[in-house]
Amino acid sequence: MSDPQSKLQRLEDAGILEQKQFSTEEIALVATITDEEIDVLVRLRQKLGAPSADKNHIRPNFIV
Amino acid sequence: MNEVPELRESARIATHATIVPPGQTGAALWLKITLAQGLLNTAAQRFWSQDDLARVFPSFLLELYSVVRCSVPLMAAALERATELAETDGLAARTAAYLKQHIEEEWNHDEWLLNDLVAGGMDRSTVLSRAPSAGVARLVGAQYCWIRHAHPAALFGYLAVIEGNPPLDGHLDEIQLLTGYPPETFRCLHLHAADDIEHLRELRATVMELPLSEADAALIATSAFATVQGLVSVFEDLTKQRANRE
Repeated sequence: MSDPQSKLQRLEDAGILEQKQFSTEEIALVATITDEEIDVLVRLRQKLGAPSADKNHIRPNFIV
Repeated sequence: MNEVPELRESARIATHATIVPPGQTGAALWLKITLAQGLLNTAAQRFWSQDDLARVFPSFLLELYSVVRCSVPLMAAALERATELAETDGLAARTAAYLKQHIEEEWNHDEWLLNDLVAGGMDRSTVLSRAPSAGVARLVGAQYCWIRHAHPAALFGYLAVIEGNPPLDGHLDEIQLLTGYPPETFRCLHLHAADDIEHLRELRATVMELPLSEADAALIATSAFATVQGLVSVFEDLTKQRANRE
């Protein structure tokens, strides 16, 4: 099990979160994400590649 | 009572090393869903930004219809299972209460969307006779597995992702412009643009208040992650289909 700071760093390094976009309370909750769950997120990020630099990158998914 | 305890057990093992602050299980779960949702945004953005969106848009509409058509029956299956468990299972009771209301909110949306597709030039009987793709079957089928063999609350992960990024009216207008489809094709989608923000707010409030064990939260997170992976695959399949036709 890795420590909370290393989890946060791993997620940030993978481009999954930016600390500045999350509240202090949310950052504290990063400690609750398991290493296995982080692995899933990182693999998906690697598969998808980097997010668009375009600020207008939030797009709808399947609308149900 | 859970009939396949090993699935609940595996979910428990997945989180045994974490310590969730008291009363924070729902918030911790929502954070995981939010992070996964962010990844889906990348795939969605790539799909909507492709050059010849007009060519792939009909296939998107058919896939969308498949997902929408599956939604109420899927929730009904979860409601049935949750009702069976509710007497002795507080999470199941909350799940049932939420689904009962949400089924009413989503009722007939498949018919509305079908009417919109017909207004856009698609043949009603062709749309109705089309079987869901393998991608949609994987996406929705996973939920039936968890509903039946783990816990119906798993569906919260699916719903949070699938309703988690509602379209904006402006973006729908942009898609209409890019694809050349008539405004009538987008009536149901515009309705969702307005409704889903409220649905998401309700869903978040519900999840935050659920009586979740760590195993329950892990199951819902797994469901959310699988839903993101499933939707990414559907987007990729749509793009590949277009490429293969070229």
